[in-house]
Amino acid sequence: MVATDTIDTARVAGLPEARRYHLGRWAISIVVLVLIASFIRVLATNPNLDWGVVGEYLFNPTVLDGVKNTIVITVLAQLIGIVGGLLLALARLSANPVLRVGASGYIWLFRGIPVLVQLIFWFNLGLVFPSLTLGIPGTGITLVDIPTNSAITPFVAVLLGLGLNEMAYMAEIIRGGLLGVPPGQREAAASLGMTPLQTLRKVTLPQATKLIVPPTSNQLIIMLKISALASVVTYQDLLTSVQLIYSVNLRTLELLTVASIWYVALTTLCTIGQSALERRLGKSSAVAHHQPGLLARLFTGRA
Amino acid sequence: MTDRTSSAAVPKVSIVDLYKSFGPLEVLKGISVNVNTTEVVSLLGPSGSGKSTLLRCVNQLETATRGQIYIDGRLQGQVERHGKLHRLKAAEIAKQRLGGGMVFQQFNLFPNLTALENVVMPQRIVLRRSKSGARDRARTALERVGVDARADHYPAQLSGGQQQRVAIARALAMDPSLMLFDEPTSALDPELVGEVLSVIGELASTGMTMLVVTHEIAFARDISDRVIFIDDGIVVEQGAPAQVIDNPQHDRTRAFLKRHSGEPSPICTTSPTS
Repeated sequence: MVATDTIDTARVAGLPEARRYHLGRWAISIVVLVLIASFIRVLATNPNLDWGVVGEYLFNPTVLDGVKNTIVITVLAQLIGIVGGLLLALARLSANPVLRVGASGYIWLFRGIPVLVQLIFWFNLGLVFPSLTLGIPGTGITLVDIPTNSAITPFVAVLLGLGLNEMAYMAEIIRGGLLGVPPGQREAAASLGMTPLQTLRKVTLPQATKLIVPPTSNQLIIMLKISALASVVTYQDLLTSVQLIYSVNLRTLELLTVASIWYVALTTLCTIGQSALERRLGKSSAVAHHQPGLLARLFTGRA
Repeated sequence: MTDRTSSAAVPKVSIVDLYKSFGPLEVLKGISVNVNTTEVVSLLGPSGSGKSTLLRCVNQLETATRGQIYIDGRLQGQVERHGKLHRLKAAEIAKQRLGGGMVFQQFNLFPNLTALENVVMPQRIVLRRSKSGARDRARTALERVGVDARADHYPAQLSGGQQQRVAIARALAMDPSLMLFDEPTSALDPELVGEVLSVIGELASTGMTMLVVTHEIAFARDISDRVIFIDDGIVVEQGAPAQVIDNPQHDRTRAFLKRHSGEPSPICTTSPTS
């Protein structure tokens, strides 16, 4: 043990603070910068990759059509996922055991089958059910009867495949968010005379949203990219569009680069939207969390 | 026990032979208590004695295993039809809860809303009050508990004492005829207990019917018309504060009070009773 009076405390207090040099940090940064630079050089100077062709096709009408279709399918499939996922999450949390087991079964099944298999299945639904019939059971009355192949267009197949699959994942995300709201919140709402539905709408969901938004943005970004699977059922998304072009002009690498640029651009938009939304939802926290800036977020690897 | 709707002598709250079990654990073992209009009743007892569970049964946050609760002579949570008792639907229970405001140990303010919005929102949703009407009522309630200056702060920006006072204002703005307090100061730092107790004490002196679960013995003596000592799920003894707290008849009450003695009253309320 050292007693304070044996140390010259006044002298120590007067010492200046030494500068830190962060040598390890500098070394790693230089390695990373060299790697990035050589990667860019390889891409830019490779004679097999003609950047002129990339520029030429970046705003080609067929490509832009593909971009539009990719956005439409991503947004609609994610919407189906969110709305259906909310209903599934509520069913899983319900007091009715049949609803609970049914929702769990759905999630189990759809998370268990690869989404590519689901897409192909929906596209070929006509092989299992030649016609789709809607009637009143037990009466023999038929309201609708159409051949399956005319109802399940590539668009419908993609929407069903991606949307129904997404529901299973969103259900778990939303259920997690709802369970993250402390039970005291529901009790307080109940004690004020709010019904379970009013409590869900005004108390539980708004608070759960804060927990649901980050993983949902992640899902949206994943959706944007797995929508490329639509190419296997001949729906004309972004990937299909560039495939159509390079199957004719054989500029495979250049057109895949065009598609990649668009995918990265759309992902960037999603990330910007996510930060804006999170900042808005975070305004009630008293302690300002240190949030990395936009650039930092883009380059620190979200999916 | 029949539905007693005759006017004069109807107690505000009537608890009749109430039992409550959580699985194999029997928490309430046959409790019967009446609370008259404008009466302030404190429930004392050791932790786990069942007093909080009793309060939560009164507000139907818990469903009793057996026994009935009447408020203003109206059976709570159940309805008699064709000689049987049927459980009410959630929306009907929500309507019954309107008469009683509840204040929780953990405040339970809505963290995504400001203090003012916390008080406004339930009025808008449940009572369908106009925007300006709800805001006026909220301002009055926040002023009454002394946090009107912080109306635009979020709960995380308020001290525990301020949060609990906003929670009281939120309950008061619904114009309840009965207030239930479930250990309202147990989660507070010692120096913040006084400001919450003085608000509750002020409320008691204005003729609000109140049922208070508390560990603040001195406070209970100050504000209560009657003190009920509960241990192990039954009422051990009850009576005027002076009788139960200063001259307890049962060993269990004496043992409990001995453990909690020596704590001075954190406030000096102008008590309506003593």
